[in-house]
Amino acid sequence: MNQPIINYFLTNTFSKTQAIRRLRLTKEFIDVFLFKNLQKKDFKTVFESFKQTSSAYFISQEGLEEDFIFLEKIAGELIKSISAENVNESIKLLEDAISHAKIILIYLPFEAPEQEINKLGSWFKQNLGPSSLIEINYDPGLIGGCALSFNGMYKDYSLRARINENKKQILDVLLSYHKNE
Amino acid sequence: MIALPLNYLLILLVLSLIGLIFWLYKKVDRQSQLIQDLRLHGERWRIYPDQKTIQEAVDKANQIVTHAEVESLKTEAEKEMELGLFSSKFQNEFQNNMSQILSKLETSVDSSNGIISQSINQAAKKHDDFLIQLQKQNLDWQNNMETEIKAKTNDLLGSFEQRMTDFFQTAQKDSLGAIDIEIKSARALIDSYKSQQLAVVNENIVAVLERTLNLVIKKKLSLKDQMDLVYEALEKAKLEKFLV
Repeated sequence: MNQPIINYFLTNTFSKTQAIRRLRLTKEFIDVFLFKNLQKKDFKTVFESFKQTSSAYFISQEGLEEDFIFLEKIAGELIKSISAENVNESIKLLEDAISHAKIILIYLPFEAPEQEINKLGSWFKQNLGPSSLIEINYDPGLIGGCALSFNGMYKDYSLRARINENKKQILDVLLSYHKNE
Repeated sequence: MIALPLNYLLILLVLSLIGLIFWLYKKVDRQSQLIQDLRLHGERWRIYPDQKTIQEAVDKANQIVTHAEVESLKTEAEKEMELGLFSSKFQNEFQNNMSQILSKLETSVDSSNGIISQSINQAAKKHDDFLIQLQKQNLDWQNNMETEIKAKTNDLLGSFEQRMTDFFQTAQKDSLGAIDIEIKSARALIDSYKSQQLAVVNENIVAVLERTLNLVIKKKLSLKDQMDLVYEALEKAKLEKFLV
């Protein structure tokens, strides 16, 4: 697997979950194409049949259709650079690239759909570099906004933090409201 | 009262009869005793004589015996005749006396019956009168008892009612007093609880507000609004150079 493919993989993958899913899909496809394609069919035929018979891991996973589109784009170049001898090495390269990517943990108070996650990921790629990946966690106590964890540091930018910062002012407002009643 | 001498008369009659019978019995007994003595006197000569003397004695005895027998037979006949006469006379007299006694007894019984029935009627009448009087007395007594019982019951109920009224009034007063005390203490407790809770609420108002906002915002904010808040937070992080 050559570096452009790895770069393309990381640039067009936004979250860590997506990266792991796409990595597994790539591994399965390579396995099918190299070791189970006894009749030596062409890439397209193999890919079409692979789409139909992918493992149960992928069933009902959100974003699977996009992952197939992504894989179709890189599969052509992938099968040119990978052979039965260097497949493990190539996969390991990809895995290392993913593990060494910049991972930003985002804590959201709601469950965001795949599309919004991709948008968030693209924002981080624009501001932090193309090799950054986001990891979404769910924290309903945040109320609104988000909290971030990056390079071992955690910062709360949510509504909860803003309320706690302005606690005194809020109390004063409430007390003045109560007295006016 | 007339029955009493009648009873005496009856008793006298019976006693006289008994005496008569006894006298007759004695007479007959005397006669028989006499005959027995004569027979025994005749028998005595047969016990201690010698042959000639015996024979003479026997002859004499036989003579005496025959004489005695004759005499006895004579006497017996006389006596039997007398006895017969006496017995017939006695029987007649006894019958006459008995008939007299019986007639007298009948008359006396009749009279006594009449007297008895009269006395029974009088006694029954007296008994009835007595029963009526008794019944009347009983009714009077019953009425008196009823009126007395009613009066006493009324008095009792009146006093009971008065006592119960007094008791309920005091109980009501005491319970109202206790209730007032309880209410006051409950009010004080409520006030202290209220002030404590308000203090707790004041301390935790921010947490309450957070929780309220959490519940409300999820329902009120759209996905776009939520994402806007997220991007706002990210811009703030970028400004603070957190993402370097």
